[in-house]
Amino acid sequence: MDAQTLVVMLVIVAVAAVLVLWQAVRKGVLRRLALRDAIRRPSETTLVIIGSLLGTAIVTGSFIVGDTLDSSIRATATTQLGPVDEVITVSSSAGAAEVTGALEDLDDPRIDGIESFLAVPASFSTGGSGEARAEPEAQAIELDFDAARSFGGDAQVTGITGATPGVGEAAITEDIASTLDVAAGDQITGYLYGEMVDLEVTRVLPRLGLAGYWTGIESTSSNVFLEPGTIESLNNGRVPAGAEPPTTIVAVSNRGGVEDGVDLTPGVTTAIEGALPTDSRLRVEPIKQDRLDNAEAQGKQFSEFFLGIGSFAVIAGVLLLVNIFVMLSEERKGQLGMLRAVGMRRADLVRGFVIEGAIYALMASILGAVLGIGVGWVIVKFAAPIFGGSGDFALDLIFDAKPESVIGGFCIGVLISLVTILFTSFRISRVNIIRAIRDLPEPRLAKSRVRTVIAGIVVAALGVGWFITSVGTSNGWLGSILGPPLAAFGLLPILTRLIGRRAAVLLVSGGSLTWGIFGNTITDGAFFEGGDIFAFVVQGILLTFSAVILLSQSQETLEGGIRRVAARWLSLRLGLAYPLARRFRTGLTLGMYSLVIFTMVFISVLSNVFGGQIDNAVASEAGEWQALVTASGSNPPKPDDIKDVEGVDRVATLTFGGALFQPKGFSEPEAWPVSGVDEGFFAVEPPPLEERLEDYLSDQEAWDALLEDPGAVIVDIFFLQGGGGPPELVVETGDNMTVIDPVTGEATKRKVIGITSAGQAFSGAFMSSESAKDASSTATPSRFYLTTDRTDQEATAVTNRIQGDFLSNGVEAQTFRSLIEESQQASLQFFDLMQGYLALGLVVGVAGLGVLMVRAVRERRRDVGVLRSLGFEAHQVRRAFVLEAGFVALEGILVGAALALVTASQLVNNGDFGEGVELIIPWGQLGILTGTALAASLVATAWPAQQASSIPPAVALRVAD
Amino acid sequence: MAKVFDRIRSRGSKRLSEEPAASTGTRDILVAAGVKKIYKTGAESVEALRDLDLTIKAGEFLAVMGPSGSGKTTLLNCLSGLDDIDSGTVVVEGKDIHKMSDAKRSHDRAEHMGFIFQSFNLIPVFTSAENVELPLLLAGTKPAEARRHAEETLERVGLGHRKKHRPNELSGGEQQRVTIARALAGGPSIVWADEPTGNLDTETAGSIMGLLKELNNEGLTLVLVTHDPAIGKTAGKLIRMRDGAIESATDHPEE
Repeated sequence: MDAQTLVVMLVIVAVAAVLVLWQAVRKGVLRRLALRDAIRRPSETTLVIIGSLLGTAIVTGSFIVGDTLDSSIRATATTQLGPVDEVITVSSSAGAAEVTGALEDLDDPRIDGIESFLAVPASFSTGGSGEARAEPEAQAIELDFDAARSFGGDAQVTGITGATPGVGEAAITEDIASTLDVAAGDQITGYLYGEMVDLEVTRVLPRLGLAGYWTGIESTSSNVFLEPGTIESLNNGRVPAGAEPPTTIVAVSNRGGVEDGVDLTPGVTTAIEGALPTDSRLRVEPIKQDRLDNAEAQGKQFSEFFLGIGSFAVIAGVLLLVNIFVMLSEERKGQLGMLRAVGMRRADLVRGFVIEGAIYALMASILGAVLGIGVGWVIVKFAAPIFGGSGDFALDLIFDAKPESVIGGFCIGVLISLVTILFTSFRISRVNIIRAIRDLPEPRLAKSRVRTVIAGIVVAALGVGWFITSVGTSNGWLGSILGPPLAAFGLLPILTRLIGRRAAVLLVSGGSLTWGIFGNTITDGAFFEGGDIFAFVVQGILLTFSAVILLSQSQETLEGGIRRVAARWLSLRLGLAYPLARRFRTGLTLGMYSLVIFTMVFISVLSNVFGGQIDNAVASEAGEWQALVTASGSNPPKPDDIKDVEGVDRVATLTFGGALFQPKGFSEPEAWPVSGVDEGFFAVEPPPLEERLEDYLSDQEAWDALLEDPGAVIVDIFFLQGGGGPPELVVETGDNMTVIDPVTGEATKRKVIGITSAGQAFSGAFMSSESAKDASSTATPSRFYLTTDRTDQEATAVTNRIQGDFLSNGVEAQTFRSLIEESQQASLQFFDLMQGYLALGLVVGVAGLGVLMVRAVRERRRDVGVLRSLGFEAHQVRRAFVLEAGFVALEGILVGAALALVTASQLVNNGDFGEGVELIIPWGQLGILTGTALAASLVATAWPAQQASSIPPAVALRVAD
Repeated sequence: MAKVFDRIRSRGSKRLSEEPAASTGTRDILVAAGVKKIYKTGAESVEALRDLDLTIKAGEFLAVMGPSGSGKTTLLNCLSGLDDIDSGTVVVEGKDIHKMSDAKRSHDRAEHMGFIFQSFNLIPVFTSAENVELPLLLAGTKPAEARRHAEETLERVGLGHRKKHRPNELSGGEQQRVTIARALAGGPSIVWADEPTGNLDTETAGSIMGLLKELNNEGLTLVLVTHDPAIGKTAGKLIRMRDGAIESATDHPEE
C-alpha cells in the first residue's frame, strides 16, 4: 500500500473513531448498553471477533505478498546493480573513452562514480574427469578491480575483492561457480568468438553490486571477470560473422546509497544527456530506476491479484458479519422494542449498535492484521518454490511485511466492519415497537409505494445509462457487468405492482443470473475489458447473489417437497425448518458458501482445462516446429552443423537480439527481444496468430508480409508485459511503435500486423532478419527452430545430443513440448497457490457456519427445552442441528459448484480460453473439494450441536421463563 | 366434540380410556418418595425440594400453589423427569423415571406426558398443526395419521381454522390452546401445566381453565402449578408449598 493511500485510510479511520468515541462519550446510556452487551457473553463476543477478523487477515496477507515481491525484486537492485544507477552502452572502447571523458568534464556533484567495462555474452564449461557442466548464458566482463572498488564510494557494495584477474585467470560469481560446481583453483573453459579459452578460477565473488552486474530478467548473475584486453585479443581482434560484438558499458553512480541514489536519476540523466556529444544517439538508461519501478509494479500487481482472489473471502466475511448482527438484533428484539418504547430514538439505536460494533471491529482488525502477517508468510512459503523454480527467471522470495501494509490491512478491516455494521444497524433500527416487544413478524408490503416505484425507475435508467456508456470502452467492465442487473433490480418495484412480488423477484434475479452467465458473450468480452481479477470477482458476486435470491424465492416449492420427504424423520424436519423459515439469514449463509465454492470450483476447472491443453499449447507456441535451440550470441553454431545432427530434419535460423520498443502510451522505451526470420522459418507451418490485421486473409499471409515489409512485426502474446499471471496485451494489431537500437540509438518505426499465441520461447517481436538487424545491431543468428524425424517425446534425445555436441557454443536445446510442460508446471503450481488462498474463504465459510450455529443454539435454548420435554432425545436434537448446517452448506456448495461449471463451460465453449480448448471437468477433484467443504461444515457444527443436545430441558425452560 | 377426544385417547393411551370418565381413579399414576433437589450457585447450595413425598392418582386434578421460590416449578420439573433429582424416587406408571436413561426417559415423556407452559413455548418455525403433531411423531405415529390427529385436536380446542398459522401469527390465548392441543395429542397419562394462564387476560384464562377442567372431567390427569387461588380451588386436590416442602394438602378445596 502506498504512503498516500495509507494516510487517507488513517484519516478516515481516525475520523470514524472520533465520531464513535464522541457518541460514546456524549451518550452514556448508549455507551453502557454497548459495553455491557459486548462483555455480557465473553465466549460469544470472542466468536463474533473470530468471525470478523479473517477478512482483515486476508487483506493484510495480500499486501504482504506484494511487499515480498517488491522487496525480492528490489533486492536484485542491490545484488545485480549495487552502486550502478545509470548506464550508457557504447559499441567501441574508443567511444566509451569519449563518453567517460564527457562525464568527467561534466563534474556533476550528484555523480560519485564513473566506471566503464567491456561485456560480452559467452558460455563456460568445466570438464575434466568429473561430470561435464556448462553455463551457456554467461557474461564475460573485463573490469579493473581497483577502479571498480572505488566506484560509488563504498567498496562493500561493489562486491569486488582482490586483484584484477591476470592472464589465464578468472574471478567468477557464486552463481556460475554453483552451476559449474567449481571453486578457486579449479579450471574452467570459456567459449567466445569461436575460440576456446582455458582459465583458472582465482576468486569466487558474491552476487553483489558490480560483481553481480546483470541486466537480464534472471535473478542470478553468471559473470566471469577476465583480464582487460582478453576479449579483443581473441580471433585476432576480429568479430566473426554472425557473432555479437562486444559492448562497453559506461556505468554511473549517483550520490547516496544503493537505493537512495535513485532519487537523483532524473536530474543526472538530463545532465548526462546534455554532456554527451550533440550528434550522439547514445541513450542514458536509468537502469536502477527501471528496476525499482518494475519491483513496485510487480509487487502492486501481485498484491492486487491476491487481494482480488482474497476479496471473495472478504465478502464472505462481510456476509458473516451481517448475519451475526442480524442474529444479535433478533435475539435482542424485545430489548430494542423496549428501548424504543421508553423513548430511545431510532438514530440512538443505530449509534448504540455502531458503538458495540466498533468494539468488535477494533478488536477483530487488530487481531486480523497480526494474523495477516501469518497468512502472508504462509503464502510466501508456498509461493517460494514456484518463483524459485522458474528456471532462468527464478526469483528468490524474501519475506517482507512492511508496517504500512499491516496498518493498511488494519484500516481496511476496520472500515469494512464499520460500514457493514452501520448499514446493518440501519436495517435493525427500523423495528416496530409493538411488533418487537410482542415478537411479531414484520409485515410484508402488499405492493410497492409510488415513491419506491419512481426511485426504482430512476435506478433502472441509471443502470441502462451506465451500461451504454461502459460497454465497448476500455475499463468499462464494471458498467458492462452491473449495468443491466442494476436496471433489472430498479424495475423490481414496478414489476411487483404488475405481476406480484414473488414473480417479480424470480424474473429479476433469474434475469441477472442469465446476464452473469451469458453477458460476456453477448457483449463480446466487455466483462473483462480492463477489469482483471476484479471483473471476475464482480461477476462471481453477481452470479452467486442472483442465484441465492432466486433460490430463496423458490424455497416454498422446495420446502413442500422436502417436508414430504422429511415427514417421518423428525430430526431432518426440524433441521430444515429453521433455515427454510428464516430466509434472509439463510440467504446470507448461502451467499457466503456459494461465493467461496464458486471461486474454488471455477479455478479448479480452469486449472484442469489449462493443464489438459498441452497439444494445443505446443501447436500455439511453435506451429509445426518441434524444438528450440538457443546459443551464445558471441559464438553461435552454424545451422548446417545443427542440421547434420542425427535426427534433425529441418533447421530455421532466427536472428536474435534485444531492442528498445516504445509503443503509444509508453513514456519510456522498454527493452525486449527481437527475432528475425527468413524463408526457412516458413518451411513448415509457423505459430498460429491470435489476431492479425484484416488486410491479411490468413495467418500465412501475415507471416509472409514480414519478409516483404521491413516495417511489419508480429509480436508474441507476452510482448512488453511485466509481472506474472495471464497475458494482457499492451499493443494491438495496427499499432505503430518506435524501435531503438540500444547500442547505436538509431530509431525506426514498426507496425504490429499480428499477435501470435506463442510466448514461452520469449521470442518477443518477430520481423524479417534484415529488419531485426536494423532494430538491434547486436542481434545474431543464435536461435534455431527445428523439426526432427521423430515424435516430440523421442525428439528429446535429439535435443540432448545437440546440447552435448554444441556445448562450446553455449547451446541450450529443448523441445517445445518440454518447454510448455515446464511452463505449465509452474502455472499449475500457481493455480494450486490460488486455490490455497481461496481456501481461506472456505475457512471463513466453515468458521462462520460454526459461529452461526453456536448463536443458533443460544437463540433456541427454549425451543430445545420444549422439544426435550416433548420427548425429543438428545441425539435427535444433535442430529437436527448437524442436518441444519449440512443442508445450508450443501445448498451453498451445489449452487456455487453449478454456477462455476456453467460459467466455465460457457467461457470455454465461447473460445475465451483459446480456440479448440476443451472443457475437461475434474470430477474427482471437485468431489474431494466439495466433499471436504461439506465435511468441514459438519465438523464445525459438531460442537454447537453437542452443546444443544446436552442442554437439560428444565434448565432451558427455566432460563427462558 | 367428546367423540374426537375419545379417538385421541384411544390412540394414545389405553390406560386413560380404561378409566371411568369424570372421576378420580384409585390407581396411583405417580408416586414420589423422599425427593430432594439441590441447586448449587457457586459456593451456595439451595435445597429446592426437601424429602418430598407425593402420590398422584389417575384422573386427578392436582393444583400446586405457593409463594415464589417455594419450589413449585422445580417439583413439576422433577416429577415429570425434565430435571434430575439428588435423591429419592419418582415412579410413574410403575417405572422409576430417574433410573431410566435419558433416551428412555425422553421416549417415556413422548408417550405418557404432556406439557403446558406459561410462555406457550411453541416451536416458532412450525405451524400449529406441525407443533401439535410433534409428540405423535415422536411416539412413532405415521405422518399422515399424526397430521390427522393433530388437526382433530386443534378442532377440539377451537383452532381448526388456525392450523396453518405459525405461533407469531396467533394471539396469546390461541397459542396456549395450541400448547394444550400439543399436550393432549399424544394421549398422555398425565399433563403438567406450569402457570398455563399466567400470560393471559382474565377472559382467555377462564376459557383455558374451562377447557382443562373439561378434559380432566373426561379422565385426564392434570398437575397444574398456579399462583391464582381461584384456579387452585377448582382442582380436585390442592397442595401448598413453602421452602421446598409440602406445607398442606387439601382434597376438594372448593367444597
